[in-house]
Amino acid sequence: MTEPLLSVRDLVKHFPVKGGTVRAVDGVSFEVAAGHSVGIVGESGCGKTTIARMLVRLTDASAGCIVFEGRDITQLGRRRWRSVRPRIQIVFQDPSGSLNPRQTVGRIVAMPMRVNGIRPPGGRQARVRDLLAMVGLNPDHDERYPHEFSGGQRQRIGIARALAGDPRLIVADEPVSALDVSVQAQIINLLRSLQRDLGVSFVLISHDLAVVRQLCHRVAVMHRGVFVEAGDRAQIFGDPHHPYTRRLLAAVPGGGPPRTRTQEQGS
Amino acid sequence: MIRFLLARSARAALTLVAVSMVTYAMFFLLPQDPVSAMCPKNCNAERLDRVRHDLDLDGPTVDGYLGYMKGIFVGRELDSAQGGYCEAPCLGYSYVNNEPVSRTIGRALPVTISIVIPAAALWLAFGLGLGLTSAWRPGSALDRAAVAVSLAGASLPLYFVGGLLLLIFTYRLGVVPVPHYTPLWRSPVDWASGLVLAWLALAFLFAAIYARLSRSQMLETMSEDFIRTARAKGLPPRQVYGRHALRAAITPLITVLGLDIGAALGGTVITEVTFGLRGMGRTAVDAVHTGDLPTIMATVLIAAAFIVIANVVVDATYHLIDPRARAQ
Amino acid sequence: MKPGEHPRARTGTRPSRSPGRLAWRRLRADRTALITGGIMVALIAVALAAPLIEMLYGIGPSEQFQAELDDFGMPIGPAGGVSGQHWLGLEPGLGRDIFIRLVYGLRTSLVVAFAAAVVTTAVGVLVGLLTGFLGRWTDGVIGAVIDFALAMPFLIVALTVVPTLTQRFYGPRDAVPASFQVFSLVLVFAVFGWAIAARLVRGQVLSIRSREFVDAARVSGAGLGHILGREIAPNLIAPILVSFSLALPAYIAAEAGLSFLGIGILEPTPDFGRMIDRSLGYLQTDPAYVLFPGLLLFVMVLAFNMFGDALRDALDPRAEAGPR
Repeated sequence: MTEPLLSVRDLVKHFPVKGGTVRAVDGVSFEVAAGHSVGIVGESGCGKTTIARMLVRLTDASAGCIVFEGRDITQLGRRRWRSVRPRIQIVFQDPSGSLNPRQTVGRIVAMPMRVNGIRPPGGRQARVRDLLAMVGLNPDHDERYPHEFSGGQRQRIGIARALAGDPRLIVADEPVSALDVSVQAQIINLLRSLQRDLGVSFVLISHDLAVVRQLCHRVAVMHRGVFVEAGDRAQIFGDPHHPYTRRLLAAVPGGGPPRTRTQEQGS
Repeated sequence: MIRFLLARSARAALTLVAVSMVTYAMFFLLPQDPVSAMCPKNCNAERLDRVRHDLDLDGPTVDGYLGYMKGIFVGRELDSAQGGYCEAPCLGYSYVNNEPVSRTIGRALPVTISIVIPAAALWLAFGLGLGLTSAWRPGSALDRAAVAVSLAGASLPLYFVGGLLLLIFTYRLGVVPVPHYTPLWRSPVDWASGLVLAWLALAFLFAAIYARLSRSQMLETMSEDFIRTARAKGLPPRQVYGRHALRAAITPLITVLGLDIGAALGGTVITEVTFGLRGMGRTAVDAVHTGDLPTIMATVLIAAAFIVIANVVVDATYHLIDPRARAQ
Repeated sequence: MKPGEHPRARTGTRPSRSPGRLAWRRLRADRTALITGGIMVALIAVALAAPLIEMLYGIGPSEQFQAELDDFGMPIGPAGGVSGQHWLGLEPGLGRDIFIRLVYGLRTSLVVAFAAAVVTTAVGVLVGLLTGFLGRWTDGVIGAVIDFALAMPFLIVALTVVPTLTQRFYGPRDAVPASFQVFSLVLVFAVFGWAIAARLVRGQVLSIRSREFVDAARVSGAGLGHILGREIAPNLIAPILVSFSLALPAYIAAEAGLSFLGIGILEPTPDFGRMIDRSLGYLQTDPAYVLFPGLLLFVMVLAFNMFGDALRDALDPRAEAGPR
């Protein structure tokens, strides 16, 4: 049995506030196999974005471990972490805010290569153009600025940037929530094809079950800092156990699997 | 809230202490001995020595400073001064004027307050009035005129406006007496007529600034989403504007108002010099010209105190009315 | 793609639409900006060319024309002695030409204002960057220093410091060179002004720092240098420019104010503030003497203010929001 790419065990994050602490993430565990994707769903405020930030170490965990490629990254010193970093990347929710308005798209996408000293054969610029083509954008637009693109296109740029360092794992924090429904489907398809063609694993964070369903092999349902249920796609959508999961599914317009709906109608 | 006030006041007190230290130290930058600088005319060598001893300046500088600060709270013995004792709050003794500085300040402060407070009321009313009316219909003829007038007003030097007002109303038309100060309780009419030009000049400048500020604040607020919601809910436009938008836009204005009043109370120097009114600012200028170090120090300290207190009041008000600050 | 073309070759370029370029275009299209910008350039040109103008005009700023004053010392002729030779008339009492004194006064104002604006903006940016980015402890300390600098009552302290400085280096009978006067004024402005710029920049840095693209840079592996230099700094250019362009008229007015009070630039160097101060004494007898410097000062400050406003509008990122 091959080791999973990512193994998270008992991850905890506390925030001190006036009058005590807030347990944003209160003991969460899951695994991501290479080439597979895990989705974390829940309503806003349940702590899923905090998990995303801890995975890329934008926030440090209060307790627990995150084992990536066999090493616990929560314990890594600065230098070691820097060598691991390009292999775990993130795509943010807000396509406007996540791109520096004063930089050309080419520079934005090239940044991970620049700051890590990566020089691909053929040059960085060529790789940037390849990446842009890979995410479905015109490579000739690498001299343009973010404001010249639509929201969906900007999100593609963000994905291209995440791919630039040749990551094994991409954390996608609500990657389509800020986009129109029609564009959402395109982006999800893009992520799916990237997973298939490049073998990149995803941790997809979303409040939208329909989105998670299309991309993820395994799904975890999060509520107030803990996972109330976790399982593979078929099981979560076909035969949900936990009442919260069922509530989430029922809330999806026309999205719940037929069996859940007739069950509700029957009783 | 209490905790916030305490912390904030502590910080304010520290700032004031720093100001007092720096001001005190400045007098030792002079090429000459501060004691002889303080008393250029009325002191022979013997008196100078007594002064030096009184002010603890014959020892380390720190002693002199501590003696001064102590005097502010409990008064101090000043042998070389008339009367021998300087009561608390003892802000020093002016050998140039031959009186305790606190007495000079006691005369000057009401003048400055009489200038600033009514002017502030005027500039708030006019500035806000103009800014709000023009933002109500942006781009209209009224709005553009208002923008032009307030821009012009903010660019005119105060002494120029003051000079013009004097020329027109006092000298050419004669409707207003030459500016002077009469205490309010002695004769309100005289008080007002002696200060009205100063009020107008000061208010003109600040009203222009506040008109610009309130206009841009309102415009910014009106473009926010919650206003769009209010409109969509069908609320009458005047209510949307007057109640919802105004409440959001007013906070930064109150902040600026508080800070401006604080700074102005420290001495509206140019106004007082232009109109010949002996307020805090004018006292400071005169003190500089005569080399009256204790008075200079006291005016600086009091002006700084006003600014610092205004800051604390503004912060506290913000804390009170802005629920975001309270949640922290 | 045309046959025979390399798949990676570029298919035609078009002019860059960088945010900077867009702002410049917006500025150029704004009529107010053009007019006031033109006035600013004209004023600066006049100030720089003052000696040349003096040469062409034929009269120097210190020349006295006592012969053209009457027995009371008042200039003969309309509006304070306006004539073909003296375009704006003469000063009462000393009989100096007003026009050429205004030209040199312009020079004084602009030199002091620009020097002060450059110094305060530079220092303010540095401190603002540092404090917005280094740890909470440095931020607290620098914040306290800023509070202190802003608590000092500017005018009164300036009143104290400037003569003190002068006395330190020059005796009561020495002639103080204009360069020293300018230097001490700029110094006093700098000691207060940096705090205003620093507070502004700090606020900007804090707000930019919390934007997601900074997080993205961090996740990509960027170090502090890259983040400060490449992510944050380019987004500071706009607020810095606006702050500088609005600082200029403020310093012009402040310098005139200090001179009005008698502690700015002293005789014999021409100066607006001092001229207005002196002219107030002749308010009834020769109002033209008040009007000329007052109006010019007004126009100057107004033009700079309006240009600063137009600049701010042109740089407004809200105008850049593209299609969603």
